[in-house]
Amino acid sequence: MADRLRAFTDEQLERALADVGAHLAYPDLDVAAVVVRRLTAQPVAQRIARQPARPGILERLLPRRPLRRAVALAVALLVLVATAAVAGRLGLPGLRIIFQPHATLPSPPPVGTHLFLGHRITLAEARDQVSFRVVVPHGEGLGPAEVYVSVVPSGGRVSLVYRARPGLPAGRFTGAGVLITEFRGSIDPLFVKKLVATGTNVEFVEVRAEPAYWFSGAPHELTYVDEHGRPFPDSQRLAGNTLVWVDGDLTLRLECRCSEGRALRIASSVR
Amino acid sequence: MEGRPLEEAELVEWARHGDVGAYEELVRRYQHVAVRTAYLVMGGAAEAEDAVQEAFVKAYYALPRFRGDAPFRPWLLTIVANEARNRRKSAARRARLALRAGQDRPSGDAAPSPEVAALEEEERAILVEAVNRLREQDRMVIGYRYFLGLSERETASALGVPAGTVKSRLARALRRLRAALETTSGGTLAGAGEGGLGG
Repeated sequence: MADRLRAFTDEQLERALADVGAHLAYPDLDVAAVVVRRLTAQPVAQRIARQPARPGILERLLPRRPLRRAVALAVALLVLVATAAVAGRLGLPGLRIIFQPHATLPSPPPVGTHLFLGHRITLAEARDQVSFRVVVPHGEGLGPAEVYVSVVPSGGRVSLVYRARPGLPAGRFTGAGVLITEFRGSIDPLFVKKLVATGTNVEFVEVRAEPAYWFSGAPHELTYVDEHGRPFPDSQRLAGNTLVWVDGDLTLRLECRCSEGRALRIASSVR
Repeated sequence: MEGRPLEEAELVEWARHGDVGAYEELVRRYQHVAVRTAYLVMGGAAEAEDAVQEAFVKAYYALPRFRGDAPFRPWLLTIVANEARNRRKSAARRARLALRAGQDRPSGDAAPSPEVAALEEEERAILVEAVNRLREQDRMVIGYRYFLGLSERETASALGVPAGTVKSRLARALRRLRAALETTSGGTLAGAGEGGLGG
């Protein structure tokens, strides 16, 4: 039998090798899920996972109706900020706030200003590509926005990046004057998760009579989490002053190196 | 987001901007060939799985360095083959390829040509054994080009050599394979002489 192989022409030998290749004991593996898990399970996620298993209690105790929920949240927030050591979960639709001891906050932000906001396109294209009505600020003198869209979550996520300008200095972590991100939290629940430590102030505010949070002071960590609680790596970074609010079924977040008043004015102009 | 499946270039572009969902789709598209590539280098399922996982993670973080107008597959295979090679070296173990047990049904996607289908199981075993005895450079060029059916360009990417050198390496590897067959016994196996391979 080896004799026959020895007598093969090069072409026959090549074909024979292709045949052998088709009969090798290749493993049949599906690594996609593991790879995604590894990409999304950054140190932040591991820290979140290691937290004491007490989430959900507040969630269950809080009323479902938005207004009453907001009031209850505001009270709870005050309590939590006051005690500072208590780990708990609070939120707006699409927002989870994680309180953590200072020591567990991540240190340096990712190198560069790569914000992983998705794909850069025009505003008109963004409006065609996502499942919600894209809203933008009006009359705040922000100039033109760079528009980014991401396919995750499935309803899409749009980010508007405004350059720094007088009165709106470049953010320490974004390099931009203002960064606004919007997505539809209620359809494909994607949560903005905030890791808040001592030194970060969390204030319950309102944008057009809807509940909102203003994070200021020490940088805090920002991450998006899908409906299974898996964080996406695309926004695991430190964040500066941030306003998070709800507009209909949209959840919006605005990050700027500006005052609460300025952030609220910009947010109120978004339509 | 709805509708048509995304093209490879679009998926790569999305993934480059941090879209893990898009990258997951790329992983699904290319894991088949990636696993096989790693298996050729390492010769073990568990080792190949680890190497491929690591390679996909590394490739994700290397995406900003990927030239968008180039084909993705050869670029990915370079990373996969590198990862597998480095791991095998550190394990200081020689890869030994094996045939799938309980043959007949080919494990590849493409149906073999009638001529090739006539290759006997024993002949395959002899060939694999002969390839296993080759030195790594010869084994890998044969593995990538013939076992996996990679193009010359992809073979070059996986080997980490210029595309122009693949032909000459293949010619040398085939010569050495013939030499290895000269010293291989197996002519007494049952079924010798049956069938025919085009000639």
